[in-house]
Amino acid sequence: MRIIEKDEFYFNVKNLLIQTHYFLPEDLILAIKEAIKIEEGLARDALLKILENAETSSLTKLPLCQDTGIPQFFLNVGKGICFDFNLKEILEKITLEVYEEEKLRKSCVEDPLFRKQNFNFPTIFVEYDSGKEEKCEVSVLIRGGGSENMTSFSLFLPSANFQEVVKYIINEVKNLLKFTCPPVVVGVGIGGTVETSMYAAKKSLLRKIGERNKNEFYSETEVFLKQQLNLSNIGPLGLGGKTTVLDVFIEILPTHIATLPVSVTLQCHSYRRRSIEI
Amino acid sequence: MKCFNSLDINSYKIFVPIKDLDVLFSLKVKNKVVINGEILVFRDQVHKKIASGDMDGISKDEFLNSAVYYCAATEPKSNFVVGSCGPTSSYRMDKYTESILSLGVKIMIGKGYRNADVVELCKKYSAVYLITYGGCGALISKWVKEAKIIGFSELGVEAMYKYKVENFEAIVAIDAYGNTLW
Repeated sequence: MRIIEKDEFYFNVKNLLIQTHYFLPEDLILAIKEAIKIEEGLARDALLKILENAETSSLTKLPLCQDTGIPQFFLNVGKGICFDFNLKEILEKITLEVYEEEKLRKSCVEDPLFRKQNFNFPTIFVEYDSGKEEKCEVSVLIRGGGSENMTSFSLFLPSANFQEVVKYIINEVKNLLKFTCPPVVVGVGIGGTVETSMYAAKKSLLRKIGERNKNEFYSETEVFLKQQLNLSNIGPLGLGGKTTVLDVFIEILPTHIATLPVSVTLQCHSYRRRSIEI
Repeated sequence: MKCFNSLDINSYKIFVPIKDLDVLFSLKVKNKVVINGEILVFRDQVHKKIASGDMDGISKDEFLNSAVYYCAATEPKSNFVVGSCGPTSSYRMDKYTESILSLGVKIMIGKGYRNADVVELCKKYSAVYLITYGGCGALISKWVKEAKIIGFSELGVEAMYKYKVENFEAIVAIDAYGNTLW
């Protein structure tokens, strides 16, 4: 058994959250650089701006995007790990401190209807399926309103076939793309229950660009969807071009005989995602 | 990193508030626009207030031939006058658009799709909608040289600001003839 102490967790996760606001993941930078090679005109200009923004942010410590969003923490706790502190309390404390100290925008309201009292809070998901003994994996995804709003959910009849589901995903993504910042990454959750379906779509966004579903059929479906969506000519920031979607991640879950939930969520190019192992 | 524009992009330099309105009729969809001057900065909550007739004492002259940027920046840091300040999604402002165009606003700057009503309003008021680089707030901060609150300060991050901008880059998404990027 291993006890993770409060100070060790606090220091590492606080640093993780700070870095996430200023540094895009390497795999995203590489994907943008690849896309620049095949684009021209306004599309190419927009992709160059994305790289220039990333460089500006890392040098100046101005956040990558003014929508500093909601930090979503995904913890995967391995066998034999114990915490000598309250996880929720410490993650809330880290969030409040980081947003205050780094002058990040207070992007949340306490009451969803009366919209008062701007502040910041995290969402926290904990799972216990890590294959790694005595390790805790902490990932953070910072989700802005533009990405969070670009989400769709549908309960299909269980008799629905593959083509119907694919058609739904393509139509929804094309429609949602008009309102967000392409190039995007698409997270898809198929199956599960109402909440785990959406959770799977979100969690898929923790994958690196190019990381395929282990199932051959779904892996090919991911590539097929990416190709289809890139024929849309929506392009970077909607300016037309070949690069609309950088990747599609599908996660599948067992589901009830009477149900077939499908969740789709977009992740804008300001793909603020980072992980550490403690 | 040097960011260069390909030579095949038509670009127009515009000074705001606009003195010569003819320039609005030269702008076509997908033209690049480089803006210099003073722009008004506000989003959802200020639109809602203006539409309900609450001007917070701001003179209507402020809006005449002006450019409005849909944005709520982060706080300034180190040598910058504003923090990260990219555009927010414009569609949320669609239902309030006539209330600001009727005050004399000629340029709207944001990101993403606008509905058919906004396209008609651009024709009616000879106004244009531009998109700038969504998700590039740190970069855009370099184009802002001065920033001050001019109204609705109680709205915090959503208060109305005025930015003095230099070479602020944007692209025409709806022109004054009603042509659109979509």
